[in-house]
Amino acid sequence: MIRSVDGKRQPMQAMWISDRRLGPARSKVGQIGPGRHLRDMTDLAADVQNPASIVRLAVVGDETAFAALIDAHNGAMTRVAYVVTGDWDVAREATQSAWTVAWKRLPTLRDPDRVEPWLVAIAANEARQMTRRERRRTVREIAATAGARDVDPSDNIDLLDLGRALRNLKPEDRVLIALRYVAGLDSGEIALAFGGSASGVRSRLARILDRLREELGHD
Amino acid sequence: MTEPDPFEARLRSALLRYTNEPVAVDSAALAHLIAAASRSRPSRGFDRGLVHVGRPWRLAFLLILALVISLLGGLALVGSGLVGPSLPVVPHALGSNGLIAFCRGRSDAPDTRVHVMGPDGSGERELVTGAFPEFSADGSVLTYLTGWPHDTTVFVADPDGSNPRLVPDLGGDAGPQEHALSPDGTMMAWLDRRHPGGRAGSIRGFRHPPIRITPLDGSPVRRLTTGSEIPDPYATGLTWAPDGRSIAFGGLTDLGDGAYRSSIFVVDVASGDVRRVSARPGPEVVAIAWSPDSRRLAFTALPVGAAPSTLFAAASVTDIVVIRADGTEERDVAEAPDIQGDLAWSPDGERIAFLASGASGFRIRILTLGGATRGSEAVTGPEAEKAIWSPDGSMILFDTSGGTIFAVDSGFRGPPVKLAGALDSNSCLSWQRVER
Repeated sequence: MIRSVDGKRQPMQAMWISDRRLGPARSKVGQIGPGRHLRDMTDLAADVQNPASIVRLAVVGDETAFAALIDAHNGAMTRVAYVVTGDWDVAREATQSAWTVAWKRLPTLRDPDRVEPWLVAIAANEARQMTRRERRRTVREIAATAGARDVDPSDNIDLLDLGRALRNLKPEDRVLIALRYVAGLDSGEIALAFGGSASGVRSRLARILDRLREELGHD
Repeated sequence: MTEPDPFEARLRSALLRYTNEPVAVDSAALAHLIAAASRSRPSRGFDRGLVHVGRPWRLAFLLILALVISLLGGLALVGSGLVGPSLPVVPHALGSNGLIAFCRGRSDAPDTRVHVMGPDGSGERELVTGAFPEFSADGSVLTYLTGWPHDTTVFVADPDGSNPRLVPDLGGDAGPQEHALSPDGTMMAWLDRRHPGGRAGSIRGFRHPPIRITPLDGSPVRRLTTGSEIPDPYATGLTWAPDGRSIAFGGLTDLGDGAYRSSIFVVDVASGDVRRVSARPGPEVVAIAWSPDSRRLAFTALPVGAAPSTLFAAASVTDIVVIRADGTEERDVAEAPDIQGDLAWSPDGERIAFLASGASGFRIRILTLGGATRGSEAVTGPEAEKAIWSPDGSMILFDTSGGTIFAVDSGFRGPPVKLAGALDSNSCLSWQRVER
């Protein structure tokens, strides 16, 4: 089970469908030509009903299944990476790097049903490392890309202010914010991905929220 | 009382807008590129050979091996007394067990309703529109919030929801101040964060919030502490002692370079005197629970001398610590690296229950003060936050963010049973104590 954009949990299959709405409308199996993968397209289409079996196929080296994983989770990973890096280009770069890491580490994934938390954690970590390596690129002013001020009455937070506030956080703190509020991971999942305890994650998140609250003027 | 932070909902909404850009990728090309670059990737776990039709004997062998191991393991566990045969157990209406209050509806929406049901899970009915119900320890008063997250008001009412009275100062458009109802239901203690002070961007320099006490009979608000007497600026976890004479809370100090100090403070309600009863490395102190006799505190913390944990450092070990309320006899009773949520002290004062997360789901663990632990059968679920004892100590309730309340016999004589589902809400449980 994973969370949808409103923070509520829903079956992974539902997220699969909703995530695809954000990307180009195309057939998951139609783009991949015959001869370079291990499984029949019909079988894969049937397996889409069971994301865990897609993971299992990818683990054994099935390119088609791996492509299906990318299709399903690339959006969430890139959005998490963007919160960490503050730059869409760097975020895409970090996500691609994360897929390479994921391909290598897929056999170590213990629970195929929890592949999305695992993947977004990898993407967040890649983005964090990229931020440290290429600081000059990642501290780009958000104002340069965000354009006009953008305030929604439902949350009353200006995206320009949000970008600046995020930029003032440590990369590790941006990772936490991204995993919790963009990817929808709970504190236990974050702790599982990075070590430490769920309670430690919660207390650190509380402090980050206090800082953001202050910077965004929501005392 | 675990309360939602309205700022969280606003931040989540803003982040969705912030990251709202189409993210397209040629997944097939990328998959092929990565796979081609690392054809020699080792495979483990889901070995293709295991399911290859040409080697059926390997699959059969592994299946038989797994079956034998399962049988032997199960017999060993039953023989050891760690688990018993599964018996259906349902909560029962005995002794001091009164109503169970919980929420239905989205916890981040203002239309959440407080529901109650009997101690056996029957007779559910809607009480009021509101969220986060909490009975006072003596069961005489119910408190809840309305309007969260945008314009929150805190109410107290009779246990059946009648006679609601607004508690001034605690609500507002920024959500409620962290508060705790006194055990006799006559006062509300709260952390006044309305004027946080300090400089932006760090908890360093934050002023410790004053603790105020609001009598629920309309008497003037009393300032229990000024805040200046407490060196640790970030306070949380306000918890009344069952005898009503003391209040405990956690304090956190950012020492810089990723290091933190966590402290436990106890305030004398009569005099306002504050004393630190424990200080531990790291940011781990978040769960505080008083023993029923008000003499001891339990909390989670890093072991003394442990390296201060940072999020991306190696996993730290969380201990459950018990200490006398005067700061003496501090003892790490057990390690609990899998703890999730709060600690709950049993009504007889002999055991501490908590939720533990693992690969197979969530289970209740019960810790004796001697350090022994037992666990219930696991319940599959994404997250669980709160476990509470029935007032008579016979049952433990817990809820999951999947929206289900489970009950389990505190002797683990059966598996957890579902009491209510489709709540669409979590961390919202309270069990009323009644005198029969």
